Amino acid sequence: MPDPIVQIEGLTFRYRRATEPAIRDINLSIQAGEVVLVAGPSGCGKSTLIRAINGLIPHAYPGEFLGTVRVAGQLTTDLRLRDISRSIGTMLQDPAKQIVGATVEAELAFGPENLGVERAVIRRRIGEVADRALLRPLLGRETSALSGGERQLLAMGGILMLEPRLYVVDEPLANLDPATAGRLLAILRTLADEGHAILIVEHRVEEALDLRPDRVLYLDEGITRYLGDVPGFLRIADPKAVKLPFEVVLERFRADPGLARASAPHTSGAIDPIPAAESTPRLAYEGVRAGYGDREILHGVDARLGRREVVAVLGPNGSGKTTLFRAAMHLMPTTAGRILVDGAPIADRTVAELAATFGYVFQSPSQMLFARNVREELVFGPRNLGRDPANFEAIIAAALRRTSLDELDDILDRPPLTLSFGQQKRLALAIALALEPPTLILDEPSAGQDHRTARSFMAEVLAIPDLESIYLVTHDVDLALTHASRILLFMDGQVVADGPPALVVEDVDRWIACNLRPTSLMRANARWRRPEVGFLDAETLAAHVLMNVRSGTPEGEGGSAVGAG
Amino acid sequence: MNYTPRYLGRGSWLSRRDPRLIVLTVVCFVFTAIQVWDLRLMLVLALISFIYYRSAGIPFRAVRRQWAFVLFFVSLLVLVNGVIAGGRVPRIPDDQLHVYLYLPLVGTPVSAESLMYALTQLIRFLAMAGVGFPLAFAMNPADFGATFARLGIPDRFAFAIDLTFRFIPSLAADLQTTIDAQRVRGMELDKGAGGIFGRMRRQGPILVPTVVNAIVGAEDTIDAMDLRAFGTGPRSWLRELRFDRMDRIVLVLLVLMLVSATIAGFTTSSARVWVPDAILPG
Repeated sequence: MPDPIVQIEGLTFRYRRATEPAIRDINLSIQAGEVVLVAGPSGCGKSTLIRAINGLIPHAYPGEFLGTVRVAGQLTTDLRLRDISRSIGTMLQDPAKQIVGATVEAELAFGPENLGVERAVIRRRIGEVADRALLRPLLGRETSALSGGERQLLAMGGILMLEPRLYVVDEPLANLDPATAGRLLAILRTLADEGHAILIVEHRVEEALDLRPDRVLYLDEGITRYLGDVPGFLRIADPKAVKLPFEVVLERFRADPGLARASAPHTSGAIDPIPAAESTPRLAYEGVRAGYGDREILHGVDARLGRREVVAVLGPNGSGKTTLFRAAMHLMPTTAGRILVDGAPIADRTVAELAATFGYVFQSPSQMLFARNVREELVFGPRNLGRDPANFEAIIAAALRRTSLDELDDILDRPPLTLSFGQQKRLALAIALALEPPTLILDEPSAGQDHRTARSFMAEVLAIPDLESIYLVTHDVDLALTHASRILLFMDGQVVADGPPALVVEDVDRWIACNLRPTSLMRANARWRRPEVGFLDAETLAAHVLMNVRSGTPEGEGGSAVGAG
Repeated sequence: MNYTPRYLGRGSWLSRRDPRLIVLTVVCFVFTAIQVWDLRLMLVLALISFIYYRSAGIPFRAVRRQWAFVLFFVSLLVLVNGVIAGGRVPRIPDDQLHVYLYLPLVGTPVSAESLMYALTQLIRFLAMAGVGFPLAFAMNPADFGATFARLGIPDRFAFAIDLTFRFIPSLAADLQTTIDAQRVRGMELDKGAGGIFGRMRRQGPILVPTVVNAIVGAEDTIDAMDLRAFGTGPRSWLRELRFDRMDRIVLVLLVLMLVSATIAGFTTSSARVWVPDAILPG
């Protein structure tokens, strides 16, 4: 067997200011042509492992380093980053932070320029990489004008330019629509087939399996819980912690009935949907056009979002999903049409007035957290809206209770930025709820969260009492289908489909045209779900399928339709 | 970084020039202008600046706010400078000033010379801005690094200049995101009393997240650059820069202008404030 590209032996690393190691006793070797999938919950040590492989640890992040990491046979502690970068190419999670070039060509050239590669060679490589990474149509464009998906592909292209032997990719699918995610995975698969090694860290395990990984490393609390082939991983993976293909969940439930019994029944939450058509809608768009500067994003949108509905907005990157709600909150001007909230045009209302109707939860909570402690953070909104200070304690208590943050010790005195990402996300939700709005708007509620945390977050949101409606923007198809009573399908700044999930997914061609793709859960729901009930999540559907099988109903298409209890 | 400076001069005569010429024009023009105090010559320089600015093809509507800010800032600077200087004018003794009046409270004399001095300063700053705007808006953002590197600035600093030009609009965009995030929490930016300090204190919810995110984001960007071997050795530049005939002609004219102004400063009255007889009192 040839020498591995990376050889890790007994690696333990503790950051300088941390009290506990982030990873402990990790052993891993990666051969040419091999694809290794690294999975695990948030905070399991994946980022630290990546930094140890690409040399940022110990060169940029000091701390206690035990064990060895070898790249092409040499210790990373003895190599310079410049030398490591010739063997290891790393794509960070957020391409916006990674892209430093002003134009696509400048970005692609950045790495080779740093290595002093000749101009003619760089030009030739740009041509090759543009073809390989599907960047040819983007050549000549400014990086600032690219969509999120295009940026991700460009970040990949920037790494391809260095021609490394091992590609390390950190959650590349986190902000991508399913079709763009598929394109990126196809590029990685081709690289592996050509003999390069791939190490991919990904929460979206079901999609990452399309890459056909050779091995899976499952980390939890910095420790290796599993390292082996995919079938072995699928036999031990917890379906609640990792998003697995439905067939695997079903198989796991069949093999271990305890899992099925432990599965909480799916609930659509506390909101009983009343269609928008049956009353004055909470939010109505009439021929709305809006955009940024000269660039129009919404091209004449007509839509009605009801007072009692859970509406999910799906569509490709850059199609106008977030813009839809930013316009409703008066955060950007409209150029034509009008937006009505509870029947009244928003033109007469301020953002602060709209905040009393819509609790808007941004994708990244760190964009809003500023106070010294959680208490101050929570009273900021009510104070701005002129609520009676005598009620602040009650408002805080209710917001914490509704988001389960009251279960954390001394939560009110904790600095918000010391909370974990998942906790910050719930704090952002509590901040929105402190304004006591009847409607919540959630922008990418599952982004940056592992499967378990995202599910738990959505379950908590849906269980919030006294909430009339929830509107969410997401790339997570299964999350949208299983939690929403209605789907708005967006493409190129227009609504191309609007209806119950089961109806919207019927037109597969349209679904695919919107950069979405059928998931295993969609196929399973189509096969086993009773038509009169909503989409079921994997665990609920699997449990019901098995229950029907045990009760004697034949398992098969049309023969064992099931629904939520 | 998600943003690049606006490139408004695309396709113009200036955009076809070697970008080093844009930088050198600013340098030559500034050093020329600071040697000239004769309003007549300054108006000639202003005309040159105007022609140069027009050659950049920057649409006025796209930069009118920036011009309004420049006009306000420059006017304020000239006014404050005039008051702080106590009405004195370089190279003209106080007893030779032709005073119109004395400002109440501060007692600063307003003379024909100080007015011409202020007017010359105002025209100079505006002319400098006219030459500077193309650097900010009509230079291809992709050329910053290569341009400064080819002007002899070390690679790391040249690229740092490039990143700075892009960091500022990116920071502004992040700032806007945070403003939006706080507005949906009911924050109204212009509301509230307490004067300037009260207002500054109330900006905490905007500034704290913006600064924290900028620091965290910068760390990620530094990591990304390190991982692509930035700053670890000699660098090549994809962008090839070459002066063509027109660039060389313009460059020669710029150098001639600078040398002429320098010689004129020693041999003529160009470095002395010009005061037309028509405005002298009495």
